[in-house]
Amino acid sequence: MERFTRFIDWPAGAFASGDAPFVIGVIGETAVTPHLRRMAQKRTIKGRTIEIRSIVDLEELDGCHLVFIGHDVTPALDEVLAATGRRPVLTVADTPGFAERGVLINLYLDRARVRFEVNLDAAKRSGLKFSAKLLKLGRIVPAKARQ
Amino acid sequence: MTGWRRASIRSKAIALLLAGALLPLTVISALAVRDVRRIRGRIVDVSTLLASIVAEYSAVDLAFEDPEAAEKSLRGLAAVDMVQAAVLYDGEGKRFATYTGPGLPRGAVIPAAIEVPPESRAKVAGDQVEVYRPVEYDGTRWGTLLLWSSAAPMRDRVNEYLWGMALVTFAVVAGCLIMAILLRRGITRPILAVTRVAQRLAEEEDYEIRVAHAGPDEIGVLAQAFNRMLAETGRRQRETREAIRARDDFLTIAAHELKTPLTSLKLQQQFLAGLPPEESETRQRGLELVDRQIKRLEKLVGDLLDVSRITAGRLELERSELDLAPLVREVVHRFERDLARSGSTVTVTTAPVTGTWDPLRLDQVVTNLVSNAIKYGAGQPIDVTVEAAGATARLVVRDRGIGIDAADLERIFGRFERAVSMYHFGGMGLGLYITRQIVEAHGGTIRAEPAPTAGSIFIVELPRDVRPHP
Repeated sequence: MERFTRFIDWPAGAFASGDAPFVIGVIGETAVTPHLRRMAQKRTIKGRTIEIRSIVDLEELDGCHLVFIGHDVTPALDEVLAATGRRPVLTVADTPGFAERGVLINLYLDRARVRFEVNLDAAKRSGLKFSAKLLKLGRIVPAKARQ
Repeated sequence: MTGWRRASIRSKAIALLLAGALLPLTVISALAVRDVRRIRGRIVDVSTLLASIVAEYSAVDLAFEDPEAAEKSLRGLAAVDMVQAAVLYDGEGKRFATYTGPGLPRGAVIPAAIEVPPESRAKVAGDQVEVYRPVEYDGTRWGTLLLWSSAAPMRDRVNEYLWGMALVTFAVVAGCLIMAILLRRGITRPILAVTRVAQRLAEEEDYEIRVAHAGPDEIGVLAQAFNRMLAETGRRQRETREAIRARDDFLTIAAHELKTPLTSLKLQQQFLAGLPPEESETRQRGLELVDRQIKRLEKLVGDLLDVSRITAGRLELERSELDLAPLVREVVHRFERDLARSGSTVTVTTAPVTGTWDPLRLDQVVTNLVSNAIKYGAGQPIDVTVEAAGATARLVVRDRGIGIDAADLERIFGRFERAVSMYHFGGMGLGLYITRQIVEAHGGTIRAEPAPTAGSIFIVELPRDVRPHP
């Protein structure tokens, strides 16, 4: 997770101040939450401390830089994406088909390896800058849901 | 520098030739070294550039620990022939992904790990260029890329240069050898031939040898000049020897000639001194003999003086108007007693011929010619003719004696020269020489011809007018 952030740039206005924390929101049930918490204690992202937020109200998405979307959010996915879309928020999920629906990065397993797919159109709209190197590694998916 | 001066012409020429040929060779070598360096630099540059690009694109592969993607990245290098191998090592120095190209030498071992990840580095080791490049992104070192590429193009170029230079060197050496042979044939050998002749000349004084080389070149000209010099020197040496021999002979003759009347005089003086006073007739004969011997001495000494005058160029004429005919008759008359002794008769045919001459000198001329005619006349009749031929006076003296060999006709007028041996005929051999000098001083000529049957004819021709000397 942290590695993605290295290959993605947030616009300058995404942070309130120079030492404002990097806020990671978690929506729904997800297996990565404990990992995220451990990481938040040890590491920094973009030179900032990491703050983990469990989102229960969509209002809480405000101020998040990265949002991890669990698989049980499926019914409410469009609402979540509507709240994050067009804002510099990196949405990450690990549910098949989520990328097509508008999640920027969707992780999947391929022969015991974790790989990812990128919704490039959504990424462009978000205002985040994806490194070409990252795109080289990920699978680009078309955003059918928006059509 | 003394060594250079001492060296033979051939060595010098070859040395110059070699220097001339080695100069471009040196320039070629310098250019070759520069070119090889440039190629080497280019190979290093290209390898470094490739390593940089691959390292850049491999960062994400290392970051996401995706060896498949990394190998795919490395495989892009297959398009570049010179790349032998490319290896990605992770942050801990362990091998992460490997690409091996077709150019990788058999037996080359790719290290499974690198202990201390080196910084950016490029070095040429033999045929191989080795480049290390850190793989970084966003300030994080993800790993290290190692790239091996072949320096074969450089080696090939070096080989090409070495072959080229070897070929040029061989050509230069061969050229020098050929030039050496040509030089030997064209220059050294002919010069040596001239030198050998000169040495033989110095050692053996043989002026008859000649240099054989006769080419139209400078050495040929030298040889010709040398030969001409030899001929001239030889001729002069012969002449000098001849002159010395003639002088030596003359000295012998002169001494002998002077001694004879002196001996006679001494004997006569002793005889006369012991003669009783009453023997006046005998005394008279003795005194006449003394007189004749004194005259003979006078003549000899006079001739010697004349020769020295002529040699010194001080023969001066005291000209006056005179008739040649009575002068000739007077001289012949003076020889009456000698004619009686020899048995010859003289027929004088004269016509009045006047001219401006030195009477004493002309007297000498006629006296010499008549004296010779009597001396070599073998007692036969002698004709003396004086006649005018236009502006010329001609005096002809003909005897019927032993004559002169055709080969000697000119020689007899030389100094100290006689056609016949001194032991049969007295005299120092100066008479005809002095005669000729006097005649020529008058602007005339004298020549000797064989007479039709026997004896000789001497013909003197004198211009009658005084002509101003040019």
